[in-house]
Amino acid sequence: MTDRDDESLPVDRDRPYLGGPDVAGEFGRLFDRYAAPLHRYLARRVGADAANDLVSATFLVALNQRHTYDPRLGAVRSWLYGIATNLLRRSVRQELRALRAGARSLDREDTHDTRVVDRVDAEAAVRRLARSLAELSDGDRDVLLLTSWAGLDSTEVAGVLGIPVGTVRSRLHRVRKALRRGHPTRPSAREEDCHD
Amino acid sequence: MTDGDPRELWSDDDLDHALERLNPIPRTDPRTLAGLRAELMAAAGASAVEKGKSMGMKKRWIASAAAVVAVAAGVLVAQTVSFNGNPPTASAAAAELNSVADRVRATDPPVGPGQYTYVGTRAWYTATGSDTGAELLYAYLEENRTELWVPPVFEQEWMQRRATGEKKWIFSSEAELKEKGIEIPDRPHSNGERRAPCGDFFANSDEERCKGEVGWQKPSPQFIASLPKDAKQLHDRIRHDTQGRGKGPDLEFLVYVADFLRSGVVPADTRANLYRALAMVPTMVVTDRAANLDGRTGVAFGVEVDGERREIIIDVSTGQFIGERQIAGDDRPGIPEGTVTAYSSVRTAVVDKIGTTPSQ
Repeated sequence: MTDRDDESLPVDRDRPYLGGPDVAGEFGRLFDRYAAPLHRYLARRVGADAANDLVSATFLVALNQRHTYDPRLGAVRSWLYGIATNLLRRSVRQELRALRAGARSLDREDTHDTRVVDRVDAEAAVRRLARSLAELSDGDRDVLLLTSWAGLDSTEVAGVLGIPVGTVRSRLHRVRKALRRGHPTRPSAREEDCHD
Repeated sequence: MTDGDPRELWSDDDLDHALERLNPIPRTDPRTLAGLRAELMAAAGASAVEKGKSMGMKKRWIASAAAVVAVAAGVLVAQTVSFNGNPPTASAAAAELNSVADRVRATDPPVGPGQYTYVGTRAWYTATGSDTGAELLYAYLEENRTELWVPPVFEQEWMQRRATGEKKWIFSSEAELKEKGIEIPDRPHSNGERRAPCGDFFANSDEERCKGEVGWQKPSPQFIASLPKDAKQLHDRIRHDTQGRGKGPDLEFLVYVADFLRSGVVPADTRANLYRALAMVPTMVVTDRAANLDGRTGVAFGVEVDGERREIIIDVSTGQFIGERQIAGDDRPGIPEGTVTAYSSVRTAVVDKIGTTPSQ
Protein backbone atom coordinates (compact mmCIF):
# COMPACT_ATOMS: atom_id res chain seq x y z
CA MET A 1 0.00 0.00 0.00
CA THR A 2 1.36 3.38 -0.92
CA ASP A 3 1.32 6.54 1.09
CA ARG A 4 0.22 9.45 -1.02
CA ASP A 5 0.46 13.12 -0.35
CA ASP A 6 -3.30 13.16 0.27
CA GLU A 7 -2.33 11.83 3.70
CA SER A 8 -1.59 15.38 4.71
CA LEU A 9 -5.19 16.45 4.12
CA PRO A 10 -7.02 16.66 7.45
CA VAL A 11 -9.68 14.00 7.77
CA ASP A 12 -12.51 16.48 8.21
CA ARG A 13 -11.56 18.21 4.95
CA ASP A 14 -11.21 14.97 3.06
CA ARG A 15 -14.38 15.40 1.02
CA PRO A 16 -13.53 14.11 -2.42
CA TYR A 17 -15.78 14.20 -5.46
CA LEU A 18 -16.45 10.53 -6.10
CA GLY A 19 -18.33 10.91 -9.36
CA GLY A 20 -15.22 11.45 -11.45
CA PRO A 21 -13.82 9.18 -14.14
CA ASP A 22 -10.85 7.85 -12.15
CA VAL A 23 -12.93 5.54 -9.99
CA ALA A 24 -10.15 3.06 -9.31
CA GLY A 25 -7.68 5.81 -8.46
CA GLU A 26 -10.02 7.56 -6.04
CA PHE A 27 -11.17 4.37 -4.34
CA GLY A 28 -7.63 3.08 -4.19
CA ARG A 29 -6.71 6.23 -2.29
CA LEU A 30 -9.72 5.91 0.03
CA PHE A 31 -8.84 2.30 0.72
CA ASP A 32 -5.21 3.11 1.45
CA ARG A 33 -6.15 5.83 3.85
CA TYR A 34 -9.14 4.35 5.64
CA ALA A 35 -9.18 0.57 5.31
CA ALA A 36 -6.56 -0.25 7.95
CA PRO A 37 -8.07 1.89 10.76
CA LEU A 38 -11.56 0.74 9.79
CA HIS A 39 -10.37 -2.86 9.94
CA ARG A 40 -8.87 -2.33 13.40
CA TYR A 41 -12.12 -0.85 14.67
CA LEU A 42 -14.30 -3.60 13.20
CA ALA A 43 -11.93 -6.33 14.36
CA ARG A 44 -12.32 -5.12 17.94
CA ARG A 45 -16.07 -5.32 17.58
CA VAL A 46 -16.58 -8.59 15.76
CA GLY A 47 -13.17 -10.25 15.39
CA ALA A 48 -10.58 -10.18 12.62
CA ASP A 49 -12.23 -12.64 10.25
CA ALA A 50 -15.62 -10.94 10.25
CA ALA A 51 -13.80 -7.59 9.93
CA ASN A 52 -12.19 -8.75 6.66
CA ASP A 53 -15.63 -9.33 5.18
CA LEU A 54 -17.03 -6.08 6.59
CA VAL A 55 -14.18 -3.96 5.23
CA SER A 56 -14.57 -5.59 1.84
CA ALA A 57 -18.34 -5.06 1.86
CA THR A 58 -18.02 -1.45 3.08
CA PHE A 59 -15.81 -0.43 0.17
CA LEU A 60 -17.87 -2.34 -2.40
CA VAL A 61 -21.08 -0.68 -1.12
CA ALA A 62 -19.31 2.69 -1.18
CA LEU A 63 -18.19 2.05 -4.74
CA ASN A 64 -21.72 1.17 -5.85
CA GLN A 65 -23.26 4.09 -3.99
CA ARG A 66 -20.54 6.63 -4.77
CA HIS A 67 -23.04 8.97 -6.44
CA THR A 68 -24.98 9.30 -3.18
CA TYR A 69 -21.99 10.77 -1.32
CA ASP A 70 -22.37 14.53 -0.99
CA PRO A 71 -19.09 16.16 0.02
CA ARG A 72 -20.94 19.24 1.28
CA LEU A 73 -22.68 17.20 3.95
CA GLY A 74 -19.71 15.54 5.59
CA ALA A 75 -16.24 14.09 5.38
CA VAL A 76 -15.78 10.87 3.47
CA ARG A 77 -14.59 9.07 6.59
CA SER A 78 -17.99 9.57 8.29
CA TRP A 79 -19.71 8.30 5.18
CA LEU A 80 -17.56 5.15 5.08
CA TYR A 81 -18.02 4.47 8.80
CA GLY A 82 -21.74 5.01 8.32
CA ILE A 83 -21.85 2.26 5.70
CA ALA A 84 -19.73 0.02 7.94
CA THR A 85 -22.01 0.70 10.93
CA ASN A 86 -25.07 -0.35 8.94
CA LEU A 87 -23.34 -3.53 7.81
CA LEU A 88 -22.12 -4.17 11.35
CA ARG A 89 -25.70 -4.29 12.62
CA ARG A 90 -26.07 -7.61 10.81
CA SER A 91 -23.34 -9.01 13.02
CA VAL A 92 -24.74 -7.56 16.23
CA ARG A 93 -25.87 -10.88 17.63
CA GLN A 94 -22.41 -12.31 17.19
CA GLU A 95 -20.94 -9.26 18.92
CA LEU A 96 -23.38 -9.49 21.83
CA ARG A 97 -22.72 -13.17 22.35
CA ALA A 98 -19.01 -12.48 22.67
CA LEU A 99 -19.57 -9.56 25.04
CA ARG A 100 -21.94 -11.52 27.27
CA ALA A 101 -19.44 -14.31 27.51
CA GLY A 102 -17.06 -11.77 29.01
CA ALA A 103 -14.34 -10.25 26.94
CA ARG A 104 -13.37 -11.95 23.69
CA SER A 105 -9.83 -11.50 24.81
CA LEU A 106 -8.13 -9.22 27.21
CA ASP A 107 -5.25 -7.00 26.40
CA ARG A 108 -2.78 -8.74 28.62
CA GLU A 109 0.02 -6.75 27.16
CA ASP A 110 -1.22 -3.55 28.65
CA THR A 111 -1.53 -4.80 32.17
CA HIS A 112 1.98 -3.88 33.11
CA ASP A 113 0.99 -0.33 32.37
CA THR A 114 -2.33 -0.17 34.12
CA ARG A 115 -3.18 1.65 37.30
CA VAL A 116 -5.53 -1.09 38.35
CA VAL A 117 -2.37 -2.95 39.04
CA ASP A 118 -3.81 -6.20 40.10
CA ARG A 119 -4.47 -8.37 37.10
CA VAL A 120 -7.37 -10.14 38.73
CA ASP A 121 -9.03 -6.83 39.53
CA ALA A 122 -8.33 -5.48 36.09
CA GLU A 123 -9.59 -8.51 34.24
CA ALA A 124 -12.76 -8.62 36.28
CA ALA A 125 -13.29 -4.95 35.49
CA VAL A 126 -12.89 -5.52 31.77
CA ARG A 127 -15.26 -8.48 31.85
CA ARG A 128 -17.79 -6.41 33.71
CA LEU A 129 -17.44 -3.70 31.09
CA ALA A 130 -17.98 -6.27 28.32
CA ARG A 131 -21.23 -7.43 29.91
CA SER A 132 -22.37 -3.83 30.40
CA LEU A 133 -21.68 -3.06 26.73
CA ALA A 134 -23.92 -5.95 25.75
CA GLU A 135 -26.76 -4.33 27.71
CA LEU A 136 -26.52 -1.03 25.83
CA SER A 137 -28.83 -0.22 22.95
CA ASP A 138 -27.20 -0.53 19.53
CA GLY A 139 -27.17 3.25 19.13
CA ASP A 140 -25.54 3.83 22.51
CA ARG A 141 -22.89 1.20 21.86
CA ASP A 142 -22.14 2.71 18.45
CA VAL A 143 -21.69 6.19 19.90
CA LEU A 144 -19.37 4.94 22.64
CA LEU A 145 -17.22 2.69 20.47
CA LEU A 146 -17.06 4.98 17.44
CA THR A 147 -15.65 7.54 19.86
CA SER A 148 -13.45 5.31 21.95
CA TRP A 149 -12.26 2.64 19.52
CA ALA A 150 -12.55 4.35 16.13
CA GLY A 151 -11.36 7.69 17.52
CA LEU A 152 -14.05 9.78 15.81
CA ASP A 153 -15.13 13.11 17.27
CA SER A 154 -18.74 14.00 18.08
CA THR A 155 -19.33 15.73 14.75
CA GLU A 156 -18.10 12.71 12.83
CA VAL A 157 -20.14 10.30 14.95
CA ALA A 158 -23.18 12.46 14.25
CA GLY A 159 -22.41 12.15 10.54
CA VAL A 160 -21.96 8.39 10.79
CA LEU A 161 -25.25 7.80 12.59
CA GLY A 162 -27.24 10.60 10.97
CA ILE A 163 -28.22 12.20 14.27
CA PRO A 164 -27.64 15.73 15.67
CA VAL A 165 -24.26 16.36 17.27
CA GLY A 166 -25.96 17.46 20.51
CA THR A 167 -27.60 14.06 20.78
CA VAL A 168 -24.23 12.37 20.31
CA ARG A 169 -22.72 14.40 23.16
CA SER A 170 -25.56 13.84 25.61
CA ARG A 171 -25.75 10.17 24.74
CA LEU A 172 -22.04 9.75 25.24
CA HIS A 173 -22.22 11.55 28.57
CA ARG A 174 -25.08 9.40 29.80
CA VAL A 175 -23.54 6.13 28.65
CA ARG A 176 -20.14 6.89 30.15
CA LYS A 177 -21.66 7.95 33.44
CA ALA A 178 -23.68 4.76 33.69
CA LEU A 179 -20.70 2.59 32.83
CA ARG A 180 -18.62 4.34 35.46
CA ARG A 181 -21.28 3.49 38.01
CA GLY A 182 -21.03 -0.11 36.92
CA HIS A 183 -24.55 -0.63 35.73
CA PRO A 184 -25.76 -0.44 32.18
CA THR A 185 -28.01 2.31 31.02
CA ARG A 186 -31.50 1.82 29.87
CA PRO A 187 -32.27 3.53 26.60
CA SER A 188 -34.67 6.37 27.06
CA ALA A 189 -36.94 8.15 24.66
CA ARG A 190 -35.31 11.50 25.32
CA GLU A 191 -31.72 12.06 26.28
CA GLU A 192 -32.85 14.76 28.72
CA ASP A 193 -34.76 12.20 30.75
CA CYS A 194 -31.76 10.30 31.78
CA HIS A 195 -30.95 11.75 35.16
CA ASP A 196 -31.80 9.21 37.78
CA MET B 1 -12.76 13.52 35.15
CA THR B 2 -14.57 12.05 38.07
CA ASP B 3 -16.94 14.47 39.76
CA GLY B 4 -16.55 12.77 43.10
CA ASP B 5 -19.92 11.06 42.97
CA PRO B 6 -19.60 8.16 45.42
CA ARG B 7 -21.83 6.01 43.24
CA GLU B 8 -19.16 6.07 40.57
CA LEU B 9 -16.80 3.13 40.78
CA TRP B 10 -14.57 4.37 37.99
CA SER B 11 -13.16 7.67 36.86
CA ASP B 12 -13.38 8.50 33.17
CA ASP B 13 -9.79 7.45 32.92
CA ASP B 14 -10.52 4.05 34.44
CA LEU B 15 -13.37 3.56 32.00
CA ASP B 16 -11.10 4.49 29.09
CA HIS B 17 -8.51 2.07 30.34
CA ALA B 18 -11.00 -0.77 30.54
CA LEU B 19 -12.25 0.11 27.05
CA GLU B 20 -8.69 0.10 25.83
CA ARG B 21 -8.10 -3.37 27.20
CA LEU B 22 -11.33 -4.95 26.02
CA ASN B 23 -11.00 -6.84 22.71
CA PRO B 24 -7.46 -5.74 21.87
CA ILE B 25 -6.71 -4.98 18.26
CA PRO B 26 -5.70 -8.19 16.54
CA ARG B 27 -2.74 -8.07 14.21
CA THR B 28 -3.81 -7.12 10.73
CA ASP B 29 -1.86 -9.02 8.17
CA PRO B 30 -1.07 -6.43 5.47
CA ARG B 31 -1.47 -9.20 2.89
CA THR B 32 -5.12 -9.60 3.88
CA LEU B 33 -5.77 -5.92 3.26
CA ALA B 34 -3.81 -6.12 0.01
CA GLY B 35 -6.15 -8.89 -1.07
CA LEU B 36 -9.24 -6.85 -0.17
CA ARG B 37 -7.81 -3.86 -2.02
CA ALA B 38 -7.24 -5.96 -5.11
CA GLU B 39 -10.88 -7.06 -5.05
CA LEU B 40 -12.01 -3.47 -4.76
CA MET B 41 -9.76 -2.45 -7.63
CA ALA B 42 -11.15 -5.26 -9.73
CA ALA B 43 -14.69 -4.08 -8.98
CA ALA B 44 -13.69 -0.50 -9.77
CA GLY B 45 -12.44 -1.63 -13.16
CA ALA B 46 -8.78 -1.04 -12.58
CA SER B 47 -6.41 -2.17 -15.31
CA ALA B 48 -4.45 -4.50 -13.08
CA VAL B 49 -7.53 -6.63 -12.66
CA GLU B 50 -6.18 -10.02 -13.45
CA LYS B 51 -3.15 -9.83 -11.24
CA GLY B 52 -5.03 -8.16 -8.44
CA LYS B 53 -7.98 -10.49 -8.55
CA SER B 54 -6.01 -13.70 -8.47
CA MET B 55 -3.97 -12.38 -5.59
CA GLY B 56 -7.12 -11.33 -3.80
CA MET B 57 -8.73 -14.73 -4.12
CA LYS B 58 -5.65 -16.49 -2.94
CA LYS B 59 -5.15 -14.29 0.09
CA ARG B 60 -8.78 -14.56 1.05
CA TRP B 61 -8.46 -18.28 0.95
CA ILE B 62 -5.38 -18.12 3.12
CA ALA B 63 -7.13 -15.82 5.56
CA SER B 64 -10.05 -18.18 6.11
CA ALA B 65 -7.93 -21.29 6.06
CA ALA B 66 -5.59 -19.77 8.62
CA ALA B 67 -8.40 -19.64 11.15
CA VAL B 68 -9.00 -23.35 10.77
CA VAL B 69 -5.39 -24.44 11.14
CA ALA B 70 -4.41 -21.77 13.66
CA VAL B 71 -4.57 -24.09 16.62
CA ALA B 72 -2.53 -26.80 15.01
CA ALA B 73 -0.02 -24.68 13.16
CA GLY B 74 0.04 -21.44 15.10
CA VAL B 75 3.79 -21.56 15.29
CA LEU B 76 4.23 -21.86 11.57
CA VAL B 77 1.89 -18.97 10.84
CA ALA B 78 3.61 -16.73 13.34
CA GLN B 79 7.07 -17.53 12.12
CA THR B 80 6.22 -17.06 8.47
CA VAL B 81 5.11 -13.55 9.25
CA SER B 82 8.13 -12.75 11.37
CA PHE B 83 10.70 -14.00 8.93
CA ASN B 84 8.97 -12.26 6.06
CA GLY B 85 11.73 -11.16 3.70
CA ASN B 86 14.46 -10.86 6.29
CA PRO B 87 16.58 -13.48 7.90
CA PRO B 88 16.44 -13.34 11.68
CA THR B 89 19.08 -10.92 12.93
CA ALA B 90 18.67 -11.45 16.63
CA SER B 91 21.29 -14.16 16.95
CA ALA B 92 23.33 -12.07 19.38
CA ALA B 93 20.42 -11.90 21.79
CA ALA B 94 19.76 -15.60 21.25
CA ALA B 95 23.36 -16.53 22.02
CA GLU B 96 23.32 -14.38 25.14
CA LEU B 97 20.03 -15.88 26.36
CA ASN B 98 21.34 -19.39 25.83
CA SER B 99 24.47 -18.68 27.84
CA VAL B 100 22.37 -17.01 30.56
CA ALA B 101 20.28 -20.19 30.67
CA ASP B 102 23.46 -22.17 31.31
CA ARG B 103 24.31 -19.90 34.20
CA VAL B 104 20.99 -20.34 36.03
CA ARG B 105 21.73 -22.27 39.17
CA ALA B 106 20.40 -25.78 38.94
CA THR B 107 18.18 -25.44 41.98
CA ASP B 108 16.54 -22.71 44.02
CA PRO B 109 17.10 -22.17 47.73
CA PRO B 110 14.77 -24.69 49.40
CA VAL B 111 11.58 -23.49 51.10
CA GLY B 112 11.20 -25.53 54.25
CA PRO B 113 7.96 -26.31 56.10
CA GLY B 114 6.59 -23.12 57.64
CA GLN B 115 8.78 -20.97 55.43
CA TYR B 116 7.56 -18.71 52.61
CA THR B 117 8.84 -17.45 49.28
CA TYR B 118 8.87 -13.68 49.43
CA VAL B 119 8.31 -11.80 46.15
CA GLY B 120 8.78 -8.05 46.44
CA THR B 121 7.94 -5.90 43.44
CA ARG B 122 8.51 -2.20 43.13
CA ALA B 123 6.76 -1.01 40.02
CA TRP B 124 6.15 2.34 38.38
CA TYR B 125 3.03 2.47 36.26
CA THR B 126 1.76 5.33 34.15
CA ALA B 127 -1.49 6.95 35.19
CA THR B 128 -3.09 9.34 32.74
CA GLY B 129 -6.09 11.60 32.71
CA SER B 130 -7.85 12.96 29.67
CA ASP B 131 -10.74 15.30 29.13
CA THR B 132 -13.82 14.01 27.35
CA GLY B 133 -12.30 15.07 24.04
CA ALA B 134 -9.52 12.55 24.76
CA GLU B 135 -6.90 15.29 25.04
CA LEU B 136 -4.24 14.37 27.56
CA LEU B 137 -4.44 16.41 30.76
CA TYR B 138 -1.73 14.73 32.77
CA ALA B 139 0.47 11.68 32.94
CA TYR B 140 2.67 10.46 35.74
CA LEU B 141 4.47 7.37 36.89
CA GLU B 142 3.17 6.13 40.22
CA GLU B 143 5.08 3.88 42.52
CA ASN B 144 3.36 0.61 43.41
CA ARG B 145 4.92 -1.70 45.94
CA THR B 146 3.56 -5.22 46.10
CA GLU B 147 4.82 -7.87 48.49
CA LEU B 148 3.72 -11.45 48.23
CA TRP B 149 4.28 -14.37 50.57
CA VAL B 150 3.88 -17.71 48.85
CA PRO B 151 3.51 -20.82 51.02
CA PRO B 152 5.39 -24.04 50.16
CA VAL B 153 2.04 -25.72 49.46
CA PHE B 154 -0.03 -23.83 46.89
CA GLU B 155 -3.36 -24.42 48.68
CA GLN B 156 -2.10 -22.96 51.95
CA GLU B 157 -2.61 -19.35 52.91
CA TRP B 158 -0.85 -16.65 50.90
CA MET B 159 -0.51 -13.02 51.85
CA GLN B 160 -0.28 -9.87 49.80
CA ARG B 161 0.55 -6.36 50.92
CA ARG B 162 0.27 -3.43 48.61
CA ALA B 163 0.93 0.27 48.78
CA THR B 164 1.23 3.17 46.39
CA GLY B 165 3.86 5.84 46.85
CA GLU B 166 5.62 8.59 44.97
CA LYS B 167 4.68 10.16 41.66
CA LYS B 168 7.04 11.11 38.84
CA TRP B 169 5.45 13.52 36.40
CA ILE B 170 5.63 12.88 32.67
CA PHE B 171 3.12 15.43 31.46
CA SER B 172 1.85 18.47 33.38
CA SER B 173 2.50 18.74 37.14
CA GLU B 174 0.72 18.92 40.46
CA ALA B 175 1.05 22.71 40.52
CA GLU B 176 -0.17 23.14 36.97
CA LEU B 177 -3.23 20.97 37.57
CA LYS B 178 -4.04 22.86 40.75
CA GLU B 179 -3.83 26.11 38.85
CA LYS B 180 -6.23 24.77 36.23
CA GLY B 181 -8.58 23.44 38.90
CA ILE B 182 -8.16 19.85 37.78
CA GLU B 183 -8.39 17.25 40.49
CA ILE B 184 -6.66 13.91 40.14
CA PRO B 185 -9.23 11.23 40.88
CA ASP B 186 -8.52 8.54 43.44
CA ARG B 187 -7.48 5.35 41.80
CA PRO B 188 -9.19 2.07 42.59
CA HIS B 189 -6.06 0.73 44.22
CA SER B 190 -6.30 -2.33 46.32
CA ASN B 191 -3.81 -1.05 48.82
CA GLY B 192 -3.58 -2.90 52.10
CA GLU B 193 -3.08 -6.43 53.29
CA ARG B 194 -5.02 -9.55 52.40
CA ARG B 195 -4.73 -13.30 52.84
CA ALA B 196 -6.17 -16.18 50.86
CA PRO B 197 -5.36 -19.78 49.96
CA CYS B 198 -4.01 -20.31 46.43
CA GLY B 199 -3.31 -16.58 46.22
CA ASP B 200 -6.93 -16.06 45.19
CA PHE B 201 -7.18 -12.71 46.95
CA PHE B 202 -9.92 -11.34 44.77
CA ALA B 203 -12.27 -14.28 44.49
CA ASN B 204 -15.90 -13.27 44.98
CA SER B 205 -16.46 -15.82 47.71
CA ASP B 206 -14.59 -18.42 49.77
CA GLU B 207 -16.10 -21.17 47.64
CA GLU B 208 -14.44 -19.73 44.54
CA ARG B 209 -10.98 -19.73 46.06
CA CYS B 210 -8.58 -22.30 44.65
CA LYS B 211 -10.94 -22.73 41.71
CA GLY B 212 -9.66 -19.78 39.71
CA GLU B 213 -7.82 -20.10 36.44
CA VAL B 214 -4.17 -20.97 36.61
CA GLY B 215 -1.73 -20.41 33.80
CA TRP B 216 1.14 -18.19 32.70
CA GLN B 217 -0.28 -15.27 34.63
CA LYS B 218 -0.94 -17.31 37.74
CA PRO B 219 1.24 -20.38 37.71
CA SER B 220 0.37 -23.26 40.04
CA PRO B 221 2.84 -26.08 40.63
CA GLN B 222 0.62 -28.32 38.49
CA PHE B 223 0.73 -25.82 35.65
CA ILE B 224 4.51 -25.51 35.89
CA ALA B 225 4.90 -29.30 36.01
CA SER B 226 2.73 -29.62 32.90
CA LEU B 227 5.06 -27.47 30.78
CA PRO B 228 7.33 -29.20 28.24
CA LYS B 229 10.87 -29.84 29.45
CA ASP B 230 12.26 -29.35 25.96
CA ALA B 231 12.98 -25.72 25.05
CA LYS B 232 11.62 -25.97 21.50
CA GLN B 233 8.43 -27.57 22.74
CA LEU B 234 8.13 -24.90 25.43
CA HIS B 235 8.56 -22.25 22.74
CA ASP B 236 5.83 -23.93 20.68
CA ARG B 237 3.54 -24.07 23.68
CA ILE B 238 3.90 -20.33 24.31
CA ARG B 239 3.31 -19.64 20.61
CA HIS B 240 0.15 -21.70 20.82
CA ASP B 241 -1.11 -19.97 23.95
CA THR B 242 -0.42 -16.46 22.60
CA GLN B 243 -1.82 -17.11 19.14
CA GLY B 244 -3.90 -14.16 17.93
CA ARG B 245 -3.30 -12.09 21.04
CA GLY B 246 -1.67 -8.72 21.47
CA LYS B 247 0.05 -6.45 18.99
CA GLY B 248 2.36 -9.02 17.48
CA PRO B 249 3.37 -12.64 18.02
CA ASP B 250 6.89 -11.96 19.27
CA LEU B 251 5.79 -9.12 21.53
CA GLU B 252 3.03 -11.23 23.04
CA PHE B 253 5.50 -14.07 23.52
CA LEU B 254 7.66 -11.77 25.62
CA VAL B 255 4.62 -10.47 27.51
CA TYR B 256 3.66 -13.99 28.54
CA VAL B 257 7.21 -14.79 29.57
CA ALA B 258 7.26 -11.58 31.64
CA ASP B 259 3.90 -12.43 33.23
CA PHE B 260 5.25 -15.83 34.17
CA LEU B 261 8.57 -14.59 35.55
CA ARG B 262 6.91 -11.73 37.44
CA SER B 263 5.05 -14.28 39.55
CA GLY B 264 8.36 -14.98 41.28
CA VAL B 265 7.60 -18.69 41.62
CA VAL B 266 9.18 -20.08 38.44
CA PRO B 267 11.71 -22.73 39.47
CA ALA B 268 15.31 -22.57 38.26
CA ASP B 269 15.13 -25.37 35.69
CA THR B 270 11.95 -23.97 34.14
CA ARG B 271 13.50 -20.50 34.09
CA ALA B 272 16.56 -21.75 32.23
CA ASN B 273 14.32 -23.53 29.76
CA LEU B 274 12.27 -20.38 29.34
CA TYR B 275 15.36 -18.36 28.42
CA ARG B 276 16.23 -20.97 25.78
CA ALA B 277 12.69 -20.77 24.40
CA LEU B 278 12.96 -16.98 24.37
CA ALA B 279 16.19 -17.28 22.37
CA MET B 280 14.10 -18.76 19.52
CA VAL B 281 12.04 -15.59 19.15
CA PRO B 282 13.36 -14.02 15.95
CA THR B 283 12.82 -10.31 16.66
CA MET B 284 14.15 -10.43 20.21
CA VAL B 285 17.15 -8.11 20.61
CA VAL B 286 19.41 -6.85 23.37
CA THR B 287 18.09 -3.31 23.81
CA ASP B 288 20.22 -2.14 26.72
CA ARG B 289 23.33 -3.68 28.21
CA ALA B 290 22.97 -1.76 31.47
CA ALA B 291 19.29 -1.27 32.18
CA ASN B 292 18.88 0.30 35.59
CA LEU B 293 15.81 -0.55 37.67
CA ASP B 294 15.89 1.37 40.91
CA GLY B 295 19.59 0.70 41.26
CA ARG B 296 19.64 -2.89 40.05
CA THR B 297 21.20 -3.30 36.63
CA GLY B 298 20.92 -6.04 34.07
CA VAL B 299 20.72 -6.74 30.36
CA ALA B 300 17.44 -5.80 28.70
CA PHE B 301 15.98 -8.18 26.11
CA GLY B 302 13.23 -6.52 24.13
CA VAL B 303 10.74 -6.74 21.31
CA GLU B 304 9.44 -3.71 19.49
CA VAL B 305 6.21 -3.28 17.55
CA ASP B 306 5.32 0.07 15.98
CA GLY B 307 7.84 1.84 18.19
CA GLU B 308 6.37 0.38 21.37
CA ARG B 309 8.86 -1.75 23.21
CA ARG B 310 8.64 -4.29 25.99
CA GLU B 311 11.70 -5.58 27.77
CA ILE B 312 12.61 -8.05 30.42
CA ILE B 313 15.78 -7.43 32.36
CA ILE B 314 18.01 -10.26 33.47
CA ASP B 315 21.08 -10.35 35.66
CA VAL B 316 23.21 -12.25 33.15
CA SER B 317 25.74 -13.36 35.74
CA THR B 318 23.16 -15.37 37.71
CA GLY B 319 20.25 -15.70 35.28
CA GLN B 320 17.99 -14.00 37.81
CA PHE B 321 15.01 -12.13 36.38
CA ILE B 322 15.17 -8.65 37.91
CA GLY B 323 12.37 -6.76 36.23
CA GLU B 324 10.85 -5.24 33.14
CA ARG B 325 10.30 -2.03 31.23
CA GLN B 326 7.80 -0.67 28.76
CA ILE B 327 8.60 2.12 26.32
CA ALA B 328 5.97 4.11 24.44
CA GLY B 329 5.64 4.18 20.68
CA ASP B 330 4.20 7.15 18.83
CA ASP B 331 0.57 6.20 19.39
CA ARG B 332 0.02 7.72 22.82
CA PRO B 333 -1.32 11.26 22.61
CA GLY B 334 0.82 13.72 24.55
CA ILE B 335 3.47 11.16 25.52
CA PRO B 336 6.65 11.42 23.46
CA GLU B 337 7.86 8.30 21.68
CA GLY B 338 10.58 6.63 23.70
CA THR B 339 9.14 7.59 27.10
CA VAL B 340 9.44 4.83 29.69
CA THR B 341 5.80 4.28 30.63
CA ALA B 342 6.32 1.47 33.10
CA TYR B 343 9.13 -0.33 34.84
CA SER B 344 9.43 -2.65 37.75
CA SER B 345 12.01 -4.54 39.71
CA VAL B 346 11.38 -7.78 41.52
CA ARG B 347 13.35 -9.66 44.14
CA THR B 348 12.67 -12.99 45.72
CA ALA B 349 13.88 -14.54 48.97
CA VAL B 350 12.97 -17.25 51.43
CA VAL B 351 11.61 -15.95 54.76
CA ASP B 352 10.72 -17.73 57.97
CA LYS B 353 7.33 -16.15 58.62
CA ILE B 354 4.41 -14.82 56.63
CA GLY B 355 4.54 -11.03 56.55
CA THR B 356 8.24 -10.66 57.34
CA THR B 357 10.52 -8.84 54.93
CA PRO B 358 13.99 -10.17 54.08
CA SER B 359 16.94 -7.97 54.92
CA GLN B 360 18.13 -5.99 51.90
